[in-house]
Amino acid sequence: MIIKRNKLLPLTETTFYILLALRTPGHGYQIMQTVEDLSGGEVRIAAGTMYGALENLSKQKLITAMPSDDPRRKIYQITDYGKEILALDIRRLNQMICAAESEGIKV
Amino acid sequence: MKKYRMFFRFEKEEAWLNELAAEGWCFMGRTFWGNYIFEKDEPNPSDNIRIDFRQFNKKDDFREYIQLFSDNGWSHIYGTKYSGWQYFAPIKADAPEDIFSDNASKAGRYHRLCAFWLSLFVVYTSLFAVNIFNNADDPTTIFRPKELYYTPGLWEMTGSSFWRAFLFETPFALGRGFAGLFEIVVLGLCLYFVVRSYIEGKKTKLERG
Repeated sequence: MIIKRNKLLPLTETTFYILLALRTPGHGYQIMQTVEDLSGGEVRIAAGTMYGALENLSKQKLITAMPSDDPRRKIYQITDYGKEILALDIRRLNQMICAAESEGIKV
Repeated sequence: MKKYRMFFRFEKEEAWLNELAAEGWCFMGRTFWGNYIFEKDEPNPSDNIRIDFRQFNKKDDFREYIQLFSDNGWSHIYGTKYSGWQYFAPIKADAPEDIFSDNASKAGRYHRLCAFWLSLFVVYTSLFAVNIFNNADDPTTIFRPKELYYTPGLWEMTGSSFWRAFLFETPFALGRGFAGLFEIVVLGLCLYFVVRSYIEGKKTKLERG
């Protein structure tokens, strides 16, 4: 049985963590801090990578930008579509962990 | 001090600028065609200049871009909204190593560079196509130099009147003859840059780590 998976999956680590972080609105630098915390210090997104990711995710309508009181910093937030995709990827990751556990590997 | 260089890999350009910084040459800017300008300063062996390629349509987007880098410890030392090449240097000693943290985004700057050369190629092709179509710039006339002189009856003149007319028109004739050739060379160069930056982008994307 062939199940059609959403084209955007699997999400990259960078994308996954940015979407997760943007469930709370924030600007570029805040997002980087949040991602570093959420990933236990393992995922540190550099400035150029961050800017490119924000641009791509905006184009894909997974996040949206809003002007803030600070004219030089835009505030980003996850969209409803972004939340859907994030949920799908979390389900995918969960499936992988369950599969490992069912094979006897302790997580 | 001015130095002329052309790079096909951003990493090589970064290494070159940092080498010069270690010798005490402070990078001040560059022209589009690769003329780099330096000022003598204290040697800075730990300088870590990094390069991005990105153009902006809105001034606000450009400001946001600079601000994001600045928040992250990178000072924007050279580049404009349309320049494409954006140069960054660390603000403090404990700044991060690179402005990119994965291969895909490192490769991204080659893709943007490729798109830039492609748009130039398209613009030049349409400009030159009009000329070549109107026979104003036929590159083969370089082999028939007489056709490049438009002065009526030039070749029937004799003596000093011929020489006066001939010498006066020669610079224009040269321009006409070489224009077609010049356009073909420019198009060829553009095409080479398109292909080269595309290849470098693919190479970077496939690199490990």
